[in-house]
Amino acid sequence: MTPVSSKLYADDVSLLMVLVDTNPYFWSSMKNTAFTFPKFISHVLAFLNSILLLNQMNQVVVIATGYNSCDYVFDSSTSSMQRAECLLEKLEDFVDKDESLSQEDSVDGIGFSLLSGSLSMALCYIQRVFRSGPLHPQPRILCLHGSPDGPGQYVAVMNSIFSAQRSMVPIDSCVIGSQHSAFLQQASYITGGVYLKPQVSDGLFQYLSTVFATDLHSRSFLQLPRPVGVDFRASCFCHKNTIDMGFICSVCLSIFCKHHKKCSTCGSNFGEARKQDPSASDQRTSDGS
Amino acid sequence: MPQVKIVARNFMDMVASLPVMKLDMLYDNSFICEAILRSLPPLAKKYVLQMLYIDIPITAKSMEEWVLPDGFSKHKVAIDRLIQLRVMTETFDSGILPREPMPSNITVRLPSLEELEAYAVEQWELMDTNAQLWYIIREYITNAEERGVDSADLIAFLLELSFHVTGKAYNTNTITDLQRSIIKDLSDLGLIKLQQGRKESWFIPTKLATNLSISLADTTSRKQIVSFLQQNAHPRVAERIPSVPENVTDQIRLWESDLNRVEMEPAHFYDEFPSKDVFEAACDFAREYGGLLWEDSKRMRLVVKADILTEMKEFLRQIAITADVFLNSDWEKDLPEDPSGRFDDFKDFVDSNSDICQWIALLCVLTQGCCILLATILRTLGQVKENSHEYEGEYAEPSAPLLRPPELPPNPLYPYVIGEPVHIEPHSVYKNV
Amino acid sequence: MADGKLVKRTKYKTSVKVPGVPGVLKLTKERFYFMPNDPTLTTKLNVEFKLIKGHKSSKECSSKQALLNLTQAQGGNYLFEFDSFPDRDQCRDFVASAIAACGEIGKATSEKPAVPHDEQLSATEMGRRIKLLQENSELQKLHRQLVIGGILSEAEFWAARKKLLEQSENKKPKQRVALKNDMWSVKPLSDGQTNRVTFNLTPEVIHQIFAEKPAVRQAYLKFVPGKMSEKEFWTKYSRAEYLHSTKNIVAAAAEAAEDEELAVFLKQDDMLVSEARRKIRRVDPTLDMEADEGDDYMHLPDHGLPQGETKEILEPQYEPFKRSFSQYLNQHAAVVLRGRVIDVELGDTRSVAEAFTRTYQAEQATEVSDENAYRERVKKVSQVAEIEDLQGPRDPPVALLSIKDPRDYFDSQQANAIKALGDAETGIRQMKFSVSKEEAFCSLKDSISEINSQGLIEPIISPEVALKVFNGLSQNISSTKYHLGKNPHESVLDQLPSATKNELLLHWTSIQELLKHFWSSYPITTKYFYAKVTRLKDAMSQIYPKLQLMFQEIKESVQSDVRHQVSLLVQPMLQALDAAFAHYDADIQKRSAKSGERPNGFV
Repeated sequence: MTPVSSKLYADDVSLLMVLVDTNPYFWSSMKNTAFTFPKFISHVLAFLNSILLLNQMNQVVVIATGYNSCDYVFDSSTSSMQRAECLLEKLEDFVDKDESLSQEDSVDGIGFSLLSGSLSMALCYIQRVFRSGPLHPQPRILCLHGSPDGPGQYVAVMNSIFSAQRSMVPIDSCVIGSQHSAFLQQASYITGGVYLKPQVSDGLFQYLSTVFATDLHSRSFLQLPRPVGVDFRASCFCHKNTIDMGFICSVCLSIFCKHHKKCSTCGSNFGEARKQDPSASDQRTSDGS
Repeated sequence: MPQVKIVARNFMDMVASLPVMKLDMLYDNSFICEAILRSLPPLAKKYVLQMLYIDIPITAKSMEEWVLPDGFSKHKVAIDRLIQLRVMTETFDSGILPREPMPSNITVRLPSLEELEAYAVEQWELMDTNAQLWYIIREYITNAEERGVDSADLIAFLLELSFHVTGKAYNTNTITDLQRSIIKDLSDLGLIKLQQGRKESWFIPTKLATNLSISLADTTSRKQIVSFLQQNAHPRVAERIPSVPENVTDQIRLWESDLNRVEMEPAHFYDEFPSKDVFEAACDFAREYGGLLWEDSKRMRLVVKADILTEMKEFLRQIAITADVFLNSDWEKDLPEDPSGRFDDFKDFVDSNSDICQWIALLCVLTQGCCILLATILRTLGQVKENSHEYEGEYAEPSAPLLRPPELPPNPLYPYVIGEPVHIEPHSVYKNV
Repeated sequence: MADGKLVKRTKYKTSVKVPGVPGVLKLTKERFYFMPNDPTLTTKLNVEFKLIKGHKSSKECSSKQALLNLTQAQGGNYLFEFDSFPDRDQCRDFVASAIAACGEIGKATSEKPAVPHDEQLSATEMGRRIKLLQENSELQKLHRQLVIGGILSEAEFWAARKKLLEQSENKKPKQRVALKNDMWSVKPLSDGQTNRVTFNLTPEVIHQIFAEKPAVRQAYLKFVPGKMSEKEFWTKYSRAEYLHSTKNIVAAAAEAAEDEELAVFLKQDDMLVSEARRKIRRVDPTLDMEADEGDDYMHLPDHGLPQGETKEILEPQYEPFKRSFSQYLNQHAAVVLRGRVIDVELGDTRSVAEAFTRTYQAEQATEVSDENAYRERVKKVSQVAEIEDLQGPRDPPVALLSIKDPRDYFDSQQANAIKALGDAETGIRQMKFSVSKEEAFCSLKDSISEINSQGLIEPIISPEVALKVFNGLSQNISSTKYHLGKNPHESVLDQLPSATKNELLLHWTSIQELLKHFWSSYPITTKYFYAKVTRLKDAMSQIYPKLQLMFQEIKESVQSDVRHQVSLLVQPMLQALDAAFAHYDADIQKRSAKSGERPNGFV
């Protein structure tokens, strides 16, 4: 008998990795707004159900992005009944675990959630799917993120982004917090995903179903929202000035507006510059255009 | 069977070809809604999803804004499909209440998934299970009416089955008698397995059943070819995404659609309607039953599906009674009893002046015949003239044909709206991207 | 390379129809000469290019003659017919550059300021530049604006385009001049009656002999003039050649036995043999020479070349006197292809011989020793014959990356990215918010149990909100769709009037050019650079207001959405100019501050 599954792969079969921000500090800060965690979960669950409804072969995996850790909280390929209950149960366990891992008693501001971790987990999962055989759903990642960017995660996040780019997995970002996220903006820009910060937070489900539910196959026929312009000009490490031209450490790619003897980031020793003048050097920073 | 069979290419074509009223009835069942949603083209799925909570009409333009130049054909296909299935004119409800699953502490031993699949396969011997299954199910559905089962109910139950969880046992108490009889048939097909308990009996859907709505959606040759290519690809090639290049799949798709370009459909042809009103009434009637295939209002001709032959006949009998009076000498037999006796007066009048009446009728027929003959001659003349232009380009004098051959009507354009269109701009505007 | 002159066989004609006078046309940078083959004719020409104002040539086509017509400034013309079109084209190009050079040099000498590395241009170089300018109208425009406008010197302009020049140069195949390809088949001139055989030796023939036969060269250096006179030497050599030509090996061997010196010429050339061996060793080791054997005539004696006499079996003692025709052929070919390697006047036989010896020794010295060669050979074989599948992965040496604080990277990028999204203040603003750990986690867990107990919030979304969101998104799509056109070919420039567009593009290229020169002049080390920078800066400050004015005009004339796009194009130009001006001013200040210490203006 011909395997049934092989025949069922339509163009739009998707694997959707949803990264849900569960930073408790962020959600505490949202408590008195119109958009609370229960509301958020309601919208997300409705969205997940919709995705699973669209195609029998569609698969949804939810990863909770916590404050100290991250974990899979839902996988439609393993738990088939009572999706909402299953997800909530796992989520509760996860929050307990996340709390137990917490070291400090309070955080300044709303802290950062572990985006780099959940991005990596999502990519690992996708890699496993890729390697499972020639027939697999088309994967994409959706970040539902509210916490601000954690500068300490920069390298890890960027590495995840580049690895997603290499494996051609688009990262969609839906920013639910009050601030824009430069991480996610870059992630979506580099991987060809959609970056969106809903203007009407009540209408999250509508944003999700209108924009983020679009499978990769349909995206080649549809125009999805995109930012008017992305300014990827860098600022130097030494003075934080935005620069067009400067010196770049060839080892760690740190950017400086002046010539230094030693890289302040990685400690590499530089040779003598011809002249203390950026223009004399051929090195230029990329001015994203 | 002597009749030419209507072959719907797949399950959803069959659903789409249901009469409007039956289709609307189907949408009462949430399982059918789901199954139909899944059968839609990807773009159509997205459109349905994004309009779930919008309860007022949306202009076609605002949807076209999203479409890239490359995607317009897909967009049109999606919209057409939605209109064909009347999704665009129906409120669509996605509330799903799963059938109560069997308590997990049940004492009856449940067969494992592997066993179930083996059981399903046992019932089938040949290679392509899905294709055969579809064929059988199609027959089953077509013959349902003869056995006194409403085909809509049957389809609804089949689709519902496909949303059950493979390997879970469901109590037969929760289903209707009708469904119980269907279940017996299906267990013979291997779609479900019946499990007899001490007091209650259970049914367990096999993989075949749960895959029903999808696997029946497209079991045509294209998918078979493509999946064959995928399964037998060189390991290196198999790693690529997609393993079968898109241009190849496209070519196969084109080839297939070429094969299916002409479809056979038994139909009945009506013409010589006595009046415009009668003709239009007939058209409306046929349209209402979803059986109108073609109409030519100029010459009052009409083709309807054979399905609605009986309804159509009934309708025409009522409406065409007047014509009957003139053409049928025994026409009074067709009329009901007239208690008032006024009808007899009328009859007497016609009888006494039957010569004149017959002359009038004959004159009408003759005049029409002459007109048709004249029109044909004139048109043929026109065509000859027109054709000759190609060869005698020197004669610049343009001679218009006395009667032009009828121009083909443009393809009907559906307005892609739910309800009333708010504002639709001229077509040329959104082409200009 | 014979840059300065060109010699071609041609026919000088007075009109197209007449057959013309065959002769040689010699072109130099300043003038051209025509010498008829028949020295008795008086149709010699000697004309300066100054007097030539133009040239015409016939279309290249097999049925036509290859004609070149040089028109005189005072009227009248010179018509030449060439043997082939390539010859004609070569001459035409030369003439074109020569005419241009005459004109340019006349101008240049009068105008050109004293640029330090003012090059002396060869005519070909000049021609190449002119050709480039003719082919590329944009370049011509730029050239006219910058060079003729006096902003850049000719040399400065072209210095930035060396690659372009080289490319055009590379189009013509470079060829070295080979030796005359005549085998010195010594045709003895016998008068038939007396038994006297004469050989004709010219310096060129001697040069060829030395090049082809190192043994003869060595013998010459050894014997002449100590042991014998030059004449005796060549007589002896001729005798040996004569013996060879008779192909009587036995007689040759007999004579060699008597005369020791003669034997040198008659025996096989040892030096050649050793060199041949060395050459074979240098052949790519992976080349399977045996594999070619089947295709060759190797199995036939003398490579299948017909030989008059039957092959006689030679006794081993005659072996050294055998000379194979193919050997001779190969050696000759090698020498001819190598071309003239020595640079000595041909008349002096001795110096020619010495020069050859020197070259030979130099070659020997550069050759790696046998052992080295062997080792290299083995290495090469193992490299080339490596079977990829059997090799382990070649890991590049890894240096650990030490990165201290990723936060630095973050800071360097994020500020701008956020700014672009239009909420700079929220990006920097720290949330004034503080809860304890317990509080935060508890509230989150409460939320979850709230959903568990009360179920999901229904309805999820109201139709009004859904419609609002959908309309907002649709609007956003339609507003971005047209302007950030997916189509890369549709530039915003196309929406501008073509005159404006061209002007903008011209400004763009000239600004690019000027900036390139401007920045490459820093650091200012000489007065020349200083002058150049000042010149460039003046030129740029002239363009600047023009560009600004134009920008203003465009802004007023076009729609608002295009306006934004145009400003995205123009702003960077203005900014780049601003940066250059700022740098210039800063540099001037620095210099004036330092000028007290360094009066000569050097940094």
